[in-house]
Amino acid sequence: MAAGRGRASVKGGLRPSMAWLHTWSGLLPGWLLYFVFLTGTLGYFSVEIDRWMQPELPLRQRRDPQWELIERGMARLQQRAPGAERWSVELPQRKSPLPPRIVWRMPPTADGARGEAGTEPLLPGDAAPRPRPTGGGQFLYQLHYRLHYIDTQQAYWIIGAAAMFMLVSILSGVILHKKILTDFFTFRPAAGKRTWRDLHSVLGSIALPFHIMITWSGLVLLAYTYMPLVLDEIYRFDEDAQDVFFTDNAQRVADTGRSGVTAPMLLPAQLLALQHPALNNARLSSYGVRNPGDANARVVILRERRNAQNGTDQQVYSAVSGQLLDAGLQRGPLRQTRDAMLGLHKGSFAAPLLRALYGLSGALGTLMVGSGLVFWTAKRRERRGGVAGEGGGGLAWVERANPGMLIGPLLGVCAYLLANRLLPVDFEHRGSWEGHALFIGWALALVLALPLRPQRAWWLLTASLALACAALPVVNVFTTDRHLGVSLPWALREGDWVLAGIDLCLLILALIFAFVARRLARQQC
Amino acid sequence: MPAMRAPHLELLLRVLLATIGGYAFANVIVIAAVRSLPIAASESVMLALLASFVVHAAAVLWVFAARSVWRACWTLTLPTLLLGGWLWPLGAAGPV
Repeated sequence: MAAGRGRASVKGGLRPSMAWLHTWSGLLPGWLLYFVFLTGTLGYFSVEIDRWMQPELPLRQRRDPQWELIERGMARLQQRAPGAERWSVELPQRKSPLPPRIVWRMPPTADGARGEAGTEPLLPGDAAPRPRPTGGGQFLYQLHYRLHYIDTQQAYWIIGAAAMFMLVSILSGVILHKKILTDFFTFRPAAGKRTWRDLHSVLGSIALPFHIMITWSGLVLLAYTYMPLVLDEIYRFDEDAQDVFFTDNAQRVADTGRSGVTAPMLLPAQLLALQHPALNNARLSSYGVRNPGDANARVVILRERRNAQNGTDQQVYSAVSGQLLDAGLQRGPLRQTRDAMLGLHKGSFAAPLLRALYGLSGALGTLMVGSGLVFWTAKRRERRGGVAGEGGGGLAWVERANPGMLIGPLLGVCAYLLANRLLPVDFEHRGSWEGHALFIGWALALVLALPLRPQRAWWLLTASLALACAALPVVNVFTTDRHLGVSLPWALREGDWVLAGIDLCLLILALIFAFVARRLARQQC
Repeated sequence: MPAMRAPHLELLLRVLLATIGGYAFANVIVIAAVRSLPIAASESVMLALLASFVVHAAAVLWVFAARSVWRACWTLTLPTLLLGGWLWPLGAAGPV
């Protein structure tokens, strides 16, 4: 990594120029990339975090046969919302803890306003108590591409630029370290700056395919924003034509208006009995009816996703004859490739073990970015001499900011989870104040750490992080009845580890951070 | 590399070439592909979106790997201008 002595020079030769490119394309957006990796990784567990943050939800997730639920849901909707424009039964998903619900929307009123919508739990016992309002895991997940406090479109462009830097940094890093396999087995602990360097390249090479995939597919995910001219080439700046492109055919078939002629609809069991291949043994996520009771009534079925293919897996049937009208978007091979990439990025198809690997890869990525940032300062400090954090200048500032920018976001997440337990349940702006707590926690960490010597700041923040992680399961005991005393026996008895798992992970993290803090304290003396 | 007299200016040029030049280059390359490939527009759009970021990243690497900043400059801007001239005005491929 020869950045050249003159700070602005790109020295001749491929390796030095790639080294320069790798350093700066990774460093400039480094703190942002770290935050994106961190929140994106937590996003893989957003559903589990959602459940942890709503301790009012019943422990037992009922598993009624889905077609029975659909049958009951349709019967309920018949009584509850006759004359509605659309009905649907939302079914519990393997990953989602939400109990089944019925949802309806009435037709538009005479003056053209949208019809009234309603929803309620399908099973009587699920109505009470109402879970507390919360940003949940969704909030953490959205942070990684929408940021917070700024306009979404602006955030997309900022994230996109950072992702482009990341892509360049990965590619130049690969050119730089041709000996990826050797790097993989090279780790020299306790060797000062070399340790950071080794850590950075080991982490980078272990999960290299993941890093390339996640960065590239992240860009593809928002490609319509980043490459608007490509769409303009085809649609000649015609926004209506673009809208058609984004609405798939199934949507149009489903939205055929009312005929005005009433007709009897098939019962769900009768539709099932028609033996459509797509319905046999399929797990559904929703069963909807448009224009119920009309001759044009349509059954719209969403299947739960089982593989990386993204996009709507939606089918439309005639609710009167049971005929399949649209088997979902007809997709060419390139569209399928793109959908598969988006699916890979989101990982929502992944079963628990694979999702844990996603989480691990994300954590490795977070650590890779973080260790790269620390390595940059360690290397420069060694060359320049002097004490870390002293003497002013860019290097001293980065050395002082690093603890707050790398440990700070983690403390922020702890503050977010603590706020979920400590804010009054009926506090009006609960969800948004949980979010503020994250940024207040982070800002506090930064303010605390900046005046300190970096060594001391690292120790202080890591020790606080260990305390915060340990505090969460304890606070849980006093504020909810979903603490380890309840959730652990439940997990052992029922094999449902979501709630206990989060508390246990927090305790394990607390131990790890406490261990790191102790090492840091020893180094200080 | 035949060093320019002002290394800061050279660096600034490379950075501008890599960011703005690279973005323009990626756009003309993938739009040219959309216009010339004999596949449905809905498919070629997908190819364009997938490829655009790779093309841009490759352009960035090239700009910084090139022996001289002039070489990086003309090898990137010439194709961009030529293809851009051919593609102008946008919208010739027509709707799907």
